[in-house]
Amino acid sequence: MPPSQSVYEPGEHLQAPAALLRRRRISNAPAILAAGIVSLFSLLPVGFVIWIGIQTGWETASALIFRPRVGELLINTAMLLAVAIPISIILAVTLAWLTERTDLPGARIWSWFAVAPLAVPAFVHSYAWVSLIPGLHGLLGGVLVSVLAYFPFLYLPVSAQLRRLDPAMEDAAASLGNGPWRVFFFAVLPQLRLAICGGSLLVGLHLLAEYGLYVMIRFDTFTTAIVDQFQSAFNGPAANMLGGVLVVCCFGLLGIEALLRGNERYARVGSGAARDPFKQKLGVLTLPAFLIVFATAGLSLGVPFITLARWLIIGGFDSWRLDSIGTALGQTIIFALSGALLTTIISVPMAWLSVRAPGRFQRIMEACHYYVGSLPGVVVALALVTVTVRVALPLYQTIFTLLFAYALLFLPRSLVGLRASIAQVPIELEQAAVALGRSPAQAVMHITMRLAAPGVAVSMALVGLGITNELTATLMLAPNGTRTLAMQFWSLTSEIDYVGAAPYALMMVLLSLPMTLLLYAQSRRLSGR
Amino acid sequence: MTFLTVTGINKRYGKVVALEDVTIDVPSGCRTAIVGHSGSGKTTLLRLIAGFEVPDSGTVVLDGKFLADGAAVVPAHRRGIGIVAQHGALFPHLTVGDNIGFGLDRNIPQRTERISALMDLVELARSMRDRRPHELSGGQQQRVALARALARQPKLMLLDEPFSALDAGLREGIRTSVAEVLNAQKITTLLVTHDQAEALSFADQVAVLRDGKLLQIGSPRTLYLSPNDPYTARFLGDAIILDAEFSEGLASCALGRVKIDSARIGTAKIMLRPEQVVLSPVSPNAPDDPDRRSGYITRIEFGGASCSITIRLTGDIHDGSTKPALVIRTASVNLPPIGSHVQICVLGEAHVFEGT
Repeated sequence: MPPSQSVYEPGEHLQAPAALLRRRRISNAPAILAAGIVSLFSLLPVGFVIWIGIQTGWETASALIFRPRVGELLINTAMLLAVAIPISIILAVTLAWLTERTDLPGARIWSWFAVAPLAVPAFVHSYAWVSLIPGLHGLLGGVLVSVLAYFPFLYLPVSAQLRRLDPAMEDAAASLGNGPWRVFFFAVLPQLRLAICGGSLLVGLHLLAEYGLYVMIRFDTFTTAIVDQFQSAFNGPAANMLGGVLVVCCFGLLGIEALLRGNERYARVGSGAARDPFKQKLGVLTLPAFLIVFATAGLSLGVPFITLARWLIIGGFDSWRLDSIGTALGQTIIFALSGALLTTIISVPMAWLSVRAPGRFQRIMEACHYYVGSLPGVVVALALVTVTVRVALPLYQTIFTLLFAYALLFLPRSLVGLRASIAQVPIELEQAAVALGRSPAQAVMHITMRLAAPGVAVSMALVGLGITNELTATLMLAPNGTRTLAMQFWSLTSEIDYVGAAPYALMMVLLSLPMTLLLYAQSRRLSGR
Repeated sequence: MTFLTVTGINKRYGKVVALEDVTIDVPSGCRTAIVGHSGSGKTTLLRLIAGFEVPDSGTVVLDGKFLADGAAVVPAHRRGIGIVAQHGALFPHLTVGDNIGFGLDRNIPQRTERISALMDLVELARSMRDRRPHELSGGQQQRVALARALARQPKLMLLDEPFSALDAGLREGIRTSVAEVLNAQKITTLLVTHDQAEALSFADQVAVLRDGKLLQIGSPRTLYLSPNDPYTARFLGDAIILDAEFSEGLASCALGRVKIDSARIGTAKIMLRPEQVVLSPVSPNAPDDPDRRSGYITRIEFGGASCSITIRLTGDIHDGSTKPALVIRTASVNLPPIGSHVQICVLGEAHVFEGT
């Protein structure tokens, strides 16, 4: 049937456009506005450092920065990074290769054991080592405990990458006349570069930010010095200047990582699914390999658990002062939950924008969200103390400020998870909801966020895990009378009451275990196994 | 009368032109298909009408109301336009019933009955009401998507390649039943597709887009038999396109002298559809017809219902230059064997491309 002839008459439709028409765009404006505000707040710590630098003036600043004490701290911190990171890389790559690519007996269990140290907060690791070897201190002690506490941050990405590698590449390298060692160094190791760079950056940033671990092991870094200064002279320029140097160190690490990462392509070229990787037969090397994984698990898990068990047994039931433990547990859980909720809510606009409307401006805002998470808690805390004292005194030492600090510190964790789960929801569903009469905001809430909920829950759990084990910012910002598990543990160990501290350490480990399991499961799922 | 008018739409993404001065009128109750290769801008046009994109300039007027006037637009959720997307875009966390009822107000009377009636309308068994979308076949999912879009009684229905993800066997059945439902509800429909056969059979009006420009719009028959240019001709089906010289209302071309649909003189390109070409065996002592040409079959490529036949033409046309072999697609029944001498007979008129 041919269509009826239709003639467009110009006058026909030139009635006044409907009032609805004045809406200019199908707009991302509210999301951009919200993400912009969060980005501005996340610039606060760096803004603070710059502002303090300008306020203090070059002369005072240089007098505070260029002195032997700072040089000493700088050397300590640099030595720590220079020794601990390479050892962590070697350990993590060895373990990852053994658990993923060889016929090591019980590989799954060993791979779980290589992630499990994350469930033990770093300062509980050092508590365990100090009570085992009271004389342990200085660089050697610092490196030992740092590696054991933080190598899983390298193991996770490296093992995930190894699982993802296409074995055809190794076959090709072997067929071109390379022996197994050459294959590993020239075909496999370069493919792990991104994972190693990313993991090393994470470890390095943690080493810069760590406070409790090094205080207990009596090793001075920038962070311990800043907290010392802060506790003795409150908010003096000395602490602030040290904070500035620490921020510069962080940016230095970020820059080095960006340089080393390079721009090469690492994704598979070509289509089709990769075959399952081939498992190397260990043969006579089984025993040494077994010794390596056994020793690592023994040092990183055995030592904390045996010491903890010992203190718990020595203390018996008397060390369980249930009222104060109950209070601390309750407070910790409330902080963790409300902090995770706040962090998730404020990262939704950015996560949604970066999936649905990527652009240059959005990338800049996203970078703001990410960088703040790489700052040490001590710097964020210093900034918030200064800002609240000078600008918003009623907020000083309130739960609100503390939660805000948590939100800034853990913004990237929440953003990564949210972004991935929003990306799983096809935009067509949002559009279908809009076509069925929902407003864009309703469509995001009812459809996108509803479908992203499982992923959001995981990222909330990860933020909660971070808050549970956070010590530095909590010590500096918490209102008087706050008693979280970490704070209680910290004040008891400061009084050398190791027996009394043990129940708190146990509670923290128990709280962290399920979340560590989640992290492990997530990394296996992401790599498709 | 004109129900939807799209006038002078321009849309670019950075330097890429997605749509350039596109104007389309859609009469009320009509089914219009927009066809083009991927990247032709057909989906962008649909998204502009739906309200998911904002035109750089141009207007969209639906039933006398402006939906877009340059960058001033009515937001998608206030347009009352139904959409069925390529993969249905069903909400995976809702049951079939909840999907269909998504656009219905929670508090309207007889909501449940309305949902059941919609399921009947699109021929879905009521027992599927509590299933989840992933438990349905592709065709059933598209029926749910259609019912969901129909629930709000839209004035205009947009179909964004809704059949292309379905199995070939299923496609035709669903297409027919969708067309029937939309016809019964008297809903004006716009279908976007890259499948020319689908466009020709589904629509009352077909619009061909290429590189963001509207090449031609008209009834399927007009577009198929009298395309404006060789691109449209080839896009809508197999076409034999030849150089021709006109005299006395006939065209002389590689296939002999054929009738034409224009009074043109001089030279131009003409088009024949393969089904216009009939082959018949040449009897050895038949008189030579000066208007017809003959040739030898050199190759037959069997393709099921139809075959491609390659013919080497005999004799020379005008200048004795080497002639390209002629390839035509024809029904597989009663084919002469390879090597046989056949006469070529043209049915109907050849179409003259006026612009060439």
